[in-house]
Amino acid sequence: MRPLRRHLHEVPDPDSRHARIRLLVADDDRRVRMLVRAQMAGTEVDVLEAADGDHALMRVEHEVPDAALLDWRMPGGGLPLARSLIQNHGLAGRVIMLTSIVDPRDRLEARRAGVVRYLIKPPERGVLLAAVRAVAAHSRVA
Amino acid sequence: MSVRESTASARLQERYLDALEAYVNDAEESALLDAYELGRQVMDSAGGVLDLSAVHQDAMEAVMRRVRLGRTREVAARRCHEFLDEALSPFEMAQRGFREANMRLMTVNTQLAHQSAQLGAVIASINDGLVVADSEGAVTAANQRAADLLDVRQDTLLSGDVATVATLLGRRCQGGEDDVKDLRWRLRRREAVRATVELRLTAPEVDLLVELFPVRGEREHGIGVTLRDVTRERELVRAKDELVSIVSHELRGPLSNIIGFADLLLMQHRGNEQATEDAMIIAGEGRRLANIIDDFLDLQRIDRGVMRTDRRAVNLPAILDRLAHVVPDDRDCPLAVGAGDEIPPVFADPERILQVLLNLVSNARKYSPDGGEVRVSAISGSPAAPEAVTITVADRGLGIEAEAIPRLFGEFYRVQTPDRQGISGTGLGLSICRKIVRAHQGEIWVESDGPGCGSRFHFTLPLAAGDERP
Repeated sequence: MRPLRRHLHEVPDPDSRHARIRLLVADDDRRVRMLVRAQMAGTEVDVLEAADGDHALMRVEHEVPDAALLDWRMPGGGLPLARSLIQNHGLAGRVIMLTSIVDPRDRLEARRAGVVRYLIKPPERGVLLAAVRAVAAHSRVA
Repeated sequence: MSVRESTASARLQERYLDALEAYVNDAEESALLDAYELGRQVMDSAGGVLDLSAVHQDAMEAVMRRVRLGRTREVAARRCHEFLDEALSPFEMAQRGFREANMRLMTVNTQLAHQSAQLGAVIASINDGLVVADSEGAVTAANQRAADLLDVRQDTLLSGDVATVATLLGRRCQGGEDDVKDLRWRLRRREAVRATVELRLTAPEVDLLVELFPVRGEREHGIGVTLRDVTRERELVRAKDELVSIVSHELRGPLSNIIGFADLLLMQHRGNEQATEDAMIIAGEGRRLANIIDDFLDLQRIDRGVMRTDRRAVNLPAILDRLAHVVPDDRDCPLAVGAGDEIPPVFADPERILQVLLNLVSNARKYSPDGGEVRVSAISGSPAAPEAVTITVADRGLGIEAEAIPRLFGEFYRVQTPDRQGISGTGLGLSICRKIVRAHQGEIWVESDGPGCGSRFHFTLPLAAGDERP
């Protein structure tokens, strides 16, 4: 039987919560990575860090994450990295963008590129966790 | 016959003969008349004794007829002349007047031709493109500059419809046809209002300021379009914007970290009251700063006109439904949303209108410390705005002093009264609202019956044209 396809905004059922989720965090600001790591401490999310696009792509070559959290403004740009991850590394439906400035145009561009979530810095712990879980669940059923 | 009678008759005869002689000698008409009169008296007195021959008499009478006739003719002729002079004088005056008027007209004509040539020369040589159309939309004037900016031949422009301007611009707009939707809509409707649209064209890159203005004639109204190349000005603005944007981003990044780590501290020190309070202050102040930066960037984006491209025909009740879903529940200030199904589609950017509504509702709640319903309603064709939909957000809160109303929509303005001391804000929200509404060619205003009587914020949105409806 095929598993039921979940909508992205739904938080997955408790059974799948116990499975570990690998979250790639790409941000040139070490403090943001630290913050995300601290926020995810004690949850099923394991944080993999990358300081720029090249570093992120290198990590993905070794280990495909369940979800990716990318900074909008970082060396090489967050959106080109998102496109590359979605098109070439099988991360379609699993990319979340993190930005410090709300810009409707950026949001639209991100959505067109296949980004499924667009969060404003600093993300609240609950919001971030729900987004990561939803995206990771999508990766399991996709 | 007595002697005396004979003597008198003889004297008459003598005078008659003298008179005839005088006539013959001098050829004087008066003498002939005298002779004729005397001849008759002679005949009468003589009782036929003096026999003038019938031939003589006939001759005399014929002469008399001629004389009489001649006199009559002369009098008639003189009278005629007098009459003609009298009758002709008004004609002559009229003719003279006409001649003068004609001269004046010729002078005016020359002046007009001169002015027209001058106007033509001005239109041809101004640095802005100009296209003018009649009430049917047919182009009646277009200068070479307009043709150059639109990348088309001048005669092609002159033989077409004014809506062609939108089509030609649409081909070169960065955002494509969507960028000129609003312009095309206005050109088609030939609205008698001023409007400005700024476009960024490609190949070659040009920032173009397109201004529409009504051309009011005596009988019919046309529309005019000016096209101004503002590339240089906009480059300067872009440089400034870029600087502001970089600075804001640089500020916003560290600020996010401050808020994020303060939240983290808050979470980690739940049991410690003092630490929790300190962390809350850090996070709260950080969020306040972040809001100011976000609002500031938002204002800047609106000033740049970024949002203009997303306007389309939308159903307002759908936006109000979304508003009801997005606004968090508040038992003290419940939200009541009501709009009839008869509200026609409006020409607007739904995201931005939602932003205005969220801002107004959030303000309404913020300034209703004692609670009270916040009511959002919409009507079409109010007396104040018959060609628009008017949306109203009404609350039962603190109300607004009359003197604060004119400044309420200004940037960084906040009403300073004791009852507002505990309420925070950036003073940018309403200014953003006004910019968004004005970018939609709408108006925003507020009514309040004074402190403690609540406020009613109204804004208008233009109706979508028939062919733009969803």
